[in-house]
Amino acid sequence: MRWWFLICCGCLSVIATATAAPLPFQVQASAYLVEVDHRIRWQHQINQRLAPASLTKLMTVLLLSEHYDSRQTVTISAAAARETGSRLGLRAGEVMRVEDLLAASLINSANDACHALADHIAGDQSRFVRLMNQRAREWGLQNTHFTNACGHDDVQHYSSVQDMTTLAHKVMAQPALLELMARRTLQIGNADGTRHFDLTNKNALIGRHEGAVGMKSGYTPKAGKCLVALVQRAGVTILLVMLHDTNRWWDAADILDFAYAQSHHD
Amino acid sequence: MSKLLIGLMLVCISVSDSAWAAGSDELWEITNKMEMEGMPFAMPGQTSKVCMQKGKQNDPAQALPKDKEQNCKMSDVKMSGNKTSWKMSCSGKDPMTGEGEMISSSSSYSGKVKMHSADGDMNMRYEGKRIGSCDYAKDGPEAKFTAMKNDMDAKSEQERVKECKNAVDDDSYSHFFKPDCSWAKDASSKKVCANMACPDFRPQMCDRIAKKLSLGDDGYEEIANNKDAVKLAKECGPSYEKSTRAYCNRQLQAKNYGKLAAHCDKESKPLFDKNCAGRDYTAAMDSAYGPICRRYGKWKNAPADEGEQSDNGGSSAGSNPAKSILDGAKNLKGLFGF
Repeated sequence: MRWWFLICCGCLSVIATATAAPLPFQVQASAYLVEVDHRIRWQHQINQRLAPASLTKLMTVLLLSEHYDSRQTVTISAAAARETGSRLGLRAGEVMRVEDLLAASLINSANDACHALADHIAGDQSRFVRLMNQRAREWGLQNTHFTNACGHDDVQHYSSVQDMTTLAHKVMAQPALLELMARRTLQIGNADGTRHFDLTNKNALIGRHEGAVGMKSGYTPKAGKCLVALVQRAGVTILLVMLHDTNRWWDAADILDFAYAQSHHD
Repeated sequence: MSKLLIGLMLVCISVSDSAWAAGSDELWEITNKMEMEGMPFAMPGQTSKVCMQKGKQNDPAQALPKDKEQNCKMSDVKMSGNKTSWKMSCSGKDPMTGEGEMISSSSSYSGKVKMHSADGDMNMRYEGKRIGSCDYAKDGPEAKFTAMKNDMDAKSEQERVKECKNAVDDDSYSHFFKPDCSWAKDASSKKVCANMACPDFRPQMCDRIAKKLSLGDDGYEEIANNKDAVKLAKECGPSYEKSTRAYCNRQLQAKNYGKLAAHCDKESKPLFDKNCAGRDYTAAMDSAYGPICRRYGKWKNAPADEGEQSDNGGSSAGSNPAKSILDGAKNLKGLFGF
């Protein structure tokens, strides 16, 4: 009996996979999900474990928001200053305001700022990663495991479109985070005002795609081009999560336009 | 039921006391009273004048509704002395049955009719007295019914004409197409539906469209931004296509790429091919051709756009929606071990 039950469950799972509605046109993403007004409209391979690149920072800023105090300052550690990839060029010992590190992490996807926030929250990155994985378990992210705070490739650093959608929903409940993500540019500086940094949003949709109001982009060689995009246009809210794309912005613009157009046919 | 009642009343009651033409037929004053079962009070009696063919006052067929849609028939007519009785049935839209009787003389009559319908039973009592002469062909109930119908049709047409004139003035373009009357099942609904359209006012609307198109960019855009207006403008003649070409040439000269993207496919496509296809998203969208670059949706083989990290480009993992079905099939195969 139990054996038959397992077979039936397996069949249902296979059928669900086979009949999940993909978009009616070709996109390059390995996995994606499109929600219109909080209702899933199209999806593809949403539980596949893939490298999430800088979308990891959604978890980082959500953990920060649990203890957020914009007045606090952080002294940049040597480990944070050594961060690679996208970075501000922070120096070890330099003092930054938490709110500026948050802005740099979200708008510029700066890994040194992100690392500094992890240090600030948990003392160092390894302890912060334990916290990230603890929250992932608590939030039911079954296909997510982190090995670093900012999204560097690692065999054990993975997530799924489904789990990223869960994180995106939690971010959507944080107006302060959304406000930062919607900024196309922003100037920040270190605490003593001796250096300034011009931030330009890495999310190319901001200011270019009608109604794009935020979320996060990411890229690593293993992850490909990743994106969580939030669009609010004429009362319609569209959330797009896509992992491992090669033609991200054009794909995203097409998907978002298509989703908006389709929302009027419902 | 209500229509049937109106039909009966039209037979039994003259709707107006207009002048009666002199003739060889008989003018009667009729008083009737209706009672409906279940109603707490009786309806007041009504008196009116009816022109009847001479000697027909005791013909029960006079009591039948003349509305052909009701399809009423009389049966079992019995005459005994000055008393007549009959049965009637209507199989039209409001089916009913009934029976009646009357006692008549050459100068007066009285009687009653009982009707049974889905809405309940109804009793009608009536009496009449001859008061003069008239011309039945002109003043009889059928003639009056026809006149009233014609009057109603004329009023309805007047209303339609008024609506259509307003539709022209208000640029209600949808009024000028043949309406979809598939919902209308009977003749009166079809007529109501047909009256919702103004195809005969198309020339006026086409003139108005032509005037707008002659007003330059604003006038053209007012038409071009309305789907019904565009459809109608195209059906009005070649001026819309001419105006489109003129408008698009102006936008091309002025490099108004937003307007070109919105209305000028012929001019936009070459610009898209030259300035958008294959370009990086941010570069294309930040250029003057941005609106045109979005017009044609997706294309393949765009070069890599910028990433957050400075490493080499990622490997392609191009996916195919059909792949999930294949994956599903593979899973199924694995599950059953074949």
